[in-house]
Amino acid sequence: MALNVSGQQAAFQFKGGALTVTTLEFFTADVGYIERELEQQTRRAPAFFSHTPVVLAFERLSGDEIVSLELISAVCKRSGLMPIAVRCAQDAIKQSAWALGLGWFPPQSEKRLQEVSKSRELSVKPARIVRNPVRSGQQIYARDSDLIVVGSVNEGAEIIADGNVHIWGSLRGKAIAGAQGNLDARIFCQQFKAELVSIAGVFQTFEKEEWPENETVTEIGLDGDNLIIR
Amino acid sequence: MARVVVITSGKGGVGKTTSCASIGTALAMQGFRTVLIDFDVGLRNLDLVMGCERRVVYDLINVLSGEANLSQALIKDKRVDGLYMLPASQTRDKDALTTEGVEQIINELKDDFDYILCDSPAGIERGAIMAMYFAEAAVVVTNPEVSSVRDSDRIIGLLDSRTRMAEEGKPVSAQLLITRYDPERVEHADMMSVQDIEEILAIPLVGVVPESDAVLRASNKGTPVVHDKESDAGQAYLDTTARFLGEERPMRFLEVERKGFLSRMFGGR
Ligand SMILES: Nc1ncnc2c1ncn2[C@@H]1O[C@H](COP(=O)(O)OP(=O)(O)OP(=O)(O)O)[C@@H](O)[C@H]1O
Ligand SMILES: [Mg+2]
Repeated sequence: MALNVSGQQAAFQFKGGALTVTTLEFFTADVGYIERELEQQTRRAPAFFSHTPVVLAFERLSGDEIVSLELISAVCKRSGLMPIAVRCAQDAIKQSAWALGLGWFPPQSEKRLQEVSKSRELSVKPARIVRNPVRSGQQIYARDSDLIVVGSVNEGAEIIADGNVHIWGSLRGKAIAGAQGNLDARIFCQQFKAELVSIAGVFQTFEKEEWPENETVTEIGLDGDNLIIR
Repeated sequence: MARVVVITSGKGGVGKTTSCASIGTALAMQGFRTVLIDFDVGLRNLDLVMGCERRVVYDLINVLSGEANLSQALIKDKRVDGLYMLPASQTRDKDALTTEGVEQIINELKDDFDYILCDSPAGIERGAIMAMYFAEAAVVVTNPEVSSVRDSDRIIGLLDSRTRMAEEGKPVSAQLLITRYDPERVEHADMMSVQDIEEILAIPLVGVVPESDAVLRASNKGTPVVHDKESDAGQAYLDTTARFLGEERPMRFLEVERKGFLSRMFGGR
């Protein structure tokens, strides 16, 4: 039986707007090199890569470098990413993008790139604050900022921040800090019963027996390649 | 104007239908005109628990598809005045449940009733979403075990995002009903305690119904257990309904009953 049958309604609507998408900015066109590095990163944090749509950006490469878009795109897909478009000036890449069914965005001009990085340095982005418990099946991401949860993060929930994570209640689910690689990021919680914690891609999973005995405030940070829980 | 309440849980077999029948009956006993809608298309059992399965002629899907009108499909309870139920279809396609259709039925019922209780199917699929979509309040039924609590947590998250109220930026007021509570097994740490469950789910507790043989007896007879006023489960559902209506009552049936000499002498708890 048909759903939503009501004659006058439009089938769809076009909407303009800014959507945040992850860009994968290449510093090399060497496919083998790219593949190795992607493999390493996916092994460290598989969750970030699975089914993430990405724009492949090539404006950092010199104009005469030969880019095999087909191979690069295949390598990305193999690691779980979903290339949706390219960003570049080179006509050759643009042509291959069309052939592969990818979209094309014009390159970001030097001036804008500079402006963006300048404004980033100056502005302090306030923490994202969540006032409810984060429940099983929910995922929250604080882009470019800290994340504060005024409640608990339950089993089956996942919170991610590019900065630090503060949990006023118990951490029973997954918490990821420094998601863009900030090695100094930390996770704080009132009670540690986590399924997984990760800082800058270094992660550890926990079984019941591995939780700290004393049920008090816990801080998780990185010391070299090791997570320190105290 | 009726208040729409969903009885939901995520996990199956935890006591949603049992609770819907008993809370609905208790509301009607208090004089509130109450209608129970069975959303469990394909598994018709609210009618069995209510003991009116032989009087089902038309069902929810018949009304949705225009083959019957509401007054033909509503079944009047034989025991309590002002209590009605709208049965689910046993055979028909779940996809027949459309948002528009359900909205129309609920709007029509709203004028005539004080409470509309929606008995949700298990899971987080279409049927469960339909049952909760128009709800202003929810009774989240949970058993004292990890998987049930986790599924309830998931459902509370959906109440906060997948309902009309949530879309309008208003909260659905969700309350926790713990059923099949067995203090003895809690004491032996086989089951979670009321405190543990409350701490995780972080919504107000509306009642605790103990594990009880009276429930099975009642559903075999097709009489909601709340009619059995001698039974622990029957009393727990009366308490629950009173709290649901805003009354304050202490929680009962939380401790293991000690049948020892001393407790018999001094009347126990
Ligand atoms: N307090 C209780 N004590 C003992 N048995 C109970 C209790 N509550 C429910 N039951 C039993 O548990 C079983 C499931 O109950 P019920 O049908 O109400 O659950 P449900 O959540 O509606 O299930 P479904 O998800 O299949 O719709 C029934 O056999 C019922 O008799
Ligand atoms: Mg049921």
